[in-house]
Amino acid sequence: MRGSTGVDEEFTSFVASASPQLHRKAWLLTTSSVAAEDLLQTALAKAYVHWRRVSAADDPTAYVSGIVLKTFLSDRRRRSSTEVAVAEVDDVSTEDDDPALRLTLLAALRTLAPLDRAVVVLRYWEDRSVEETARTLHLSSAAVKNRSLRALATLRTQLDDVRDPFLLPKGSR
Amino acid sequence: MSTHRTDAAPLPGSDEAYVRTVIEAAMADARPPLDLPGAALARGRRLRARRRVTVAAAAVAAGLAVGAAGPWLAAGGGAATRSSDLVATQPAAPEPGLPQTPSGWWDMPANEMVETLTGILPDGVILTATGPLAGDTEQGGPAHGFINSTLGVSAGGEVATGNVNIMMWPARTAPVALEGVGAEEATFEVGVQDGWLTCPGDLGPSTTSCTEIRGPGGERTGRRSTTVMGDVRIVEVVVVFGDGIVYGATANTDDDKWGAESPITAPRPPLTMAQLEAIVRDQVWTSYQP
Repeated sequence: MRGSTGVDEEFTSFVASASPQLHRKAWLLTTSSVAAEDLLQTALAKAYVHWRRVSAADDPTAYVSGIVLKTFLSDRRRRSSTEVAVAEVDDVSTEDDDPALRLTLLAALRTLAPLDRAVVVLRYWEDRSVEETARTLHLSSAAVKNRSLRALATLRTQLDDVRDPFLLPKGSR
Repeated sequence: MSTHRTDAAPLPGSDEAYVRTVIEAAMADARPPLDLPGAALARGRRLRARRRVTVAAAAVAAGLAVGAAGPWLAAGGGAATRSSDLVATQPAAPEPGLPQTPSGWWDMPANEMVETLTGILPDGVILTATGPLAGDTEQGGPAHGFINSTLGVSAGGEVATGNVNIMMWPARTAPVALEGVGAEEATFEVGVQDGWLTCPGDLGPSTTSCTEIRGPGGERTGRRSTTVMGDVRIVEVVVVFGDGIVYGATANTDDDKWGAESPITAPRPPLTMAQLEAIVRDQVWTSYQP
């Protein structure tokens, strides 16, 4: 039987190793570094409460990643029913030498509905299949495809400004 | 981050491929906050403490029991803050994973707490029922650090009754040594970190007044609050004494769980705010030696 110190050490060790990946996902979902940190802390706190179950999972990082997503979606639902959204908090600074691409990406993601953003993150960040994304989000495969196409179209427009200098030759698609 | 994909690879140059590439490039250098492990641990402990008092959630939602989690977190015990819950719940053995709890004056046995309270009640107020104590019921009541008793006040030849709760618990759980985190960060400051000493802190929307008590240096040392739900009035005081906390609450109802639907027993609680605070601040609580 693990004592409290053992559990705490195991948990903090897990957080240290898994947090870069989880933090990026939270940031993509929320599009704000502050909100991402809060989301991640909330998800990790839930993981701590159920640590024995989490640590016994085949892939604890994937397990907690799922908590991050569910927490994000449930929080959005709760906020949408109780709050009047005035504006999202933009990230105005990062520690990167060149944050332009990230800021542009986050601004583009911010234009998507939360569920569409979740579809993008699962499909194009975590490389999940349409079927797996549909199962995770409790959507039909057709709905995932539709949302993917719609999100891609939006992102294409939003990201056009960074297309040339960064990644692909113009008109390459 | 291609860990799950089973679809066919996207066509090079497609929008799909482009979005993937942008995300990878944009997020490659994103780093989580350095203090995340310690912060997540502290938050996890708070959440665990709150979950362990699930029955108290109703009371907390009603703006009650600011310190309800304290004694039960401290004891690693059951989920209870009101007498019916105490009757029904046997405090459990400490569970692995819970922070170690230091012993101290907050471990005063419940029967001794009742005797102590009886001795410092203001004139005209009497204790009419002790509430459940350890061994009183098959399930057992609280062994230490918590009582839920009934008080009576003489008024016009009749005795108006109401509840009083006294709870005591350590202000900090024991530090745990965490590699790369530091004992100080790992220490869970009960009360301060949970908003039990701030206004409105964890109080509910029915709270009608809230005052933070500050020490000479401006540090938070306690809180006074009043909550009104329907005809039910609740007065609460929580004060930090060094390494421990004393919480007192009184209401004009005998109900097990205080809420808007609770039947009232008097127009007001059996103790005023000043009387309750005098009881909470009495040195007899901190003089106990385990």
